Amino acid sequence: MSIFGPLLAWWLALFGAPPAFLCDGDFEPHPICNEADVPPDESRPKLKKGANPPLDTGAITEISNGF
Amino acid sequence: MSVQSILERVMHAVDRQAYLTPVDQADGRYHEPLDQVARALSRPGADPDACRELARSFHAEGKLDAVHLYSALHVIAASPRVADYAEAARWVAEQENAALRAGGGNLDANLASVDRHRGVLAFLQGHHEVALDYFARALERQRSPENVGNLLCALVCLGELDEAHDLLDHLSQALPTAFIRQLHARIEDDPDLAPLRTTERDA
Repeated sequence: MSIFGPLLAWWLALFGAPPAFLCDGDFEPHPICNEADVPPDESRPKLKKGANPPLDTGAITEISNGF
Repeated sequence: MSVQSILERVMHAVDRQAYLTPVDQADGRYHEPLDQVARALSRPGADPDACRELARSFHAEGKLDAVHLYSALHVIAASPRVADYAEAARWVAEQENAALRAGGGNLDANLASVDRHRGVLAFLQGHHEVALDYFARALERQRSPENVGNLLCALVCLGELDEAHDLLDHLSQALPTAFIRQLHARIEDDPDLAPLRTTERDA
């Protein structure tokens, strides 16, 4: 088990903010910690099927509901 | 659930028994009473209660079995005039149970009707991918132009035009001419399927 987690929790409890080397200085998360900035995993397959926008044929639906 | 896996199931079902003549949608013994219910429902100003009563009277007279009575009650509940989808879903559940109780040689056709009804309910409520899955199940159980037509409708509504064209091309080569003729007749008549018409594709 990493000691980093407990150490960071202790630091936050003591100083109320993460250490400067993890931040840009304005208490915003360091870019490397921000999930939104993590580049997409190119190895994952792209979603294609079913991702097309629904087609509006502009028609009255005539779905067949036979007995 | 992916469109591609559903299409693979459909292709497999068609390839496996490509030369079977499509089975009629309902048991031939019940065509006449079901026609009467359908005609009553399509009349201008039709009274759904009268349609329900007509179906129940046919059942009481032994002209409709329980499976087809519940199917008729579902069709009435899901019709645009009633549009009570909760009631329609309850009748489908009754129909499925009746079909399982009856068993026998019509089980697949009866369950195909159940799948078709559930697909229609999903479709009418805008869940086209769910509808596609039910229509594929219906087609696996019963190869009929109606079931293929519904499947194509769901694909078109999902924007999967290439897949719809591929499926249509595949079916045209694998299924009997009479089947394909009926299917193309529906494509010409059904506005939902307009994007699959030959002229639309060539345009």
